[in-house]
Amino acid sequence: MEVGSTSSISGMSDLLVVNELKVWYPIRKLFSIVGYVKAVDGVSFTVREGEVVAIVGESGCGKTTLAKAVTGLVPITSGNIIFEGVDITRLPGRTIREWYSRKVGLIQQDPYGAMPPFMTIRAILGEPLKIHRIGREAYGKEVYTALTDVGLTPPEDYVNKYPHMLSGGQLQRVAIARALILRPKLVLADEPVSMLDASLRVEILSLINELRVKYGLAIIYITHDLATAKYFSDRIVVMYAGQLVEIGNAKDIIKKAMHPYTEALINVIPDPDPRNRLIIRKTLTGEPPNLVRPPPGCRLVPRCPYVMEKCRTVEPPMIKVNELRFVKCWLYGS
Amino acid sequence: MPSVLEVTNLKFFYRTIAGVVRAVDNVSFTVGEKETLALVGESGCGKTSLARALMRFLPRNVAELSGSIKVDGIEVLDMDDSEFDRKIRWRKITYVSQAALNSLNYVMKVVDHLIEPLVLHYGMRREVAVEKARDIIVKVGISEDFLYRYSFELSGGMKQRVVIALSLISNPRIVILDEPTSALDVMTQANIMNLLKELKEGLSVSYIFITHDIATSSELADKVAVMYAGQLVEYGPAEKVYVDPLHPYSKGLLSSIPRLRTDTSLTPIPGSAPSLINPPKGCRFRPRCPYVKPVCEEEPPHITLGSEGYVRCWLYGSR
Repeated sequence: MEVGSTSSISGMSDLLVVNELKVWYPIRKLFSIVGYVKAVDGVSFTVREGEVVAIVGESGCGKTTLAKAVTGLVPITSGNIIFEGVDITRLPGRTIREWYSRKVGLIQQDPYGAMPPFMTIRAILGEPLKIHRIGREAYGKEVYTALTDVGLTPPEDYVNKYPHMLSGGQLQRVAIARALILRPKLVLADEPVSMLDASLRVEILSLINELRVKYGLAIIYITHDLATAKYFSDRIVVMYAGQLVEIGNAKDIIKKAMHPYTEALINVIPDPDPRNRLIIRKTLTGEPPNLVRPPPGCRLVPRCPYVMEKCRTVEPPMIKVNELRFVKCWLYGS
Repeated sequence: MPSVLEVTNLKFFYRTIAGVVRAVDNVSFTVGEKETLALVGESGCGKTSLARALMRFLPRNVAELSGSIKVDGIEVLDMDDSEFDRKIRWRKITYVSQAALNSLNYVMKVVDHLIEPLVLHYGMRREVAVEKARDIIVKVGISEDFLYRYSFELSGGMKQRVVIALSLISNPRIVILDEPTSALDVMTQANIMNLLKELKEGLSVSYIFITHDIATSSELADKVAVMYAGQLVEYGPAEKVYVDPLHPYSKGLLSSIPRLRTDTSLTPIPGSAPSLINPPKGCRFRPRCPYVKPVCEEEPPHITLGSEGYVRCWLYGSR
């Protein structure tokens, strides 16, 4: 496994290594399985300690399934997920619950849907502590620290409130506090700001970043927005139709996209500029392919402006451009 | 340029147990022919209430609706409901709601959605209406075959195109687009924006484009109105507001947006928007404003800029 691994040059240790991961959802009809939705189909990447990796792609490309697989919430079809040197795909469920789930936190997209409406903020934040049997004395203190960490001060004002009494931004802060309360090493943030107002997004992302520095977290930031990925991640991996199509340093990818899909993603994001109204943006037409029967060659073929004969029949390999840059496209190799 | 819509001192308040919510408080703007006004502000600032006041989608607890709304020079606030329904709503002004994706009926084919207003309101013959539906569906970039499909057979982007077709079929003067793309994917969003740009050129229609995302707003805006806590704090041409904003809130909005093509540092606006039941006295942005001074406790002056722009801020006017 060399694709996407950067540990050899930086000397930093890999916290998470995902190797040839496949998550196929079976389609059942009566008692037999008639096919699979190949939501994640051969994905390899690494996350180093303290690093922010953004996974960028359209909805339906498998980003969330990938996150769920990494947190151990969906059964995987094949491949490995190696965390701190341990292959979690081989661990018994009990060890995953007791050890791994303390090490990995998850921030979901919709803060309104992620909070049980009948529990107070104290109970919501206390639940992970209770499940992992963290002492009663620590219980209250940890909840207060967690709330202070996410800027909900004074914490006494919030602990007895219910989720409906808080605004979207405040709820997302509670979600962040909950993801961090067991002091994980890795946090998966699944579109943490896409439901929030544009003006609030930077505030929440900055908060996540502050806490990353404070607690030495690694973060997988899942998003469809390259503009925020540029500001808040070290590396970007671009996902399309269940596969990774480009991996590289955030700044490099934004400066010069190599894969036609990345290029299109960059083209469609507007910056506030009065000239925007006078231009028609170059976009990809059509829809992403069906993940039950993906096209045989490159999966972008029906939408790609640079399509060649070869692309239709042979799937492109992940081509290494340099130590940090990988692209899955025939334009860059023979 | 003759204005299609002229709104002057519009007030729209709701009555609640906690008090009167001043959702739209003294708002004035105009929209010219083939022009787009982008209405930008955080959630809860009254953007959608303003759209509802224009469409007269009124809840039962209206405390006050006053001021003036002129469509093609005709005052509509004086009209009673049936006259408004006959002459204005869905004829002159149409509305694409935030939840547009869910607004199609599951048991109706696309064509039935499209011809319904023509047959019911205009008394058009079915065959004629179907022809018109065929025209419009091609204009929004969907193949004719889809006329006979149900909404669940369409993707999110296609549903949004159908809803846009619906809003255009009666040849309106103004379409209100209330966050038309926020539920869509980035790529689909760009395709819909391209479509709206083309339609504006092709059919002579004006848009009011409501969004919380100032970057997206620049995709259509000829003019920008920045709304804060029920009031317009800055209003002016796109070239001015995006490039050289004057009001501290507009400045804050622009500097809190991550940009892809330039490297600027990001500064979020501290604090949160005030309650519209008891807004702060004087300037409503005062508690969050980095330039606050004692005079801000008084109602800020309304400073006219250029031919019709304005800014409400003490930084630009003396006592």
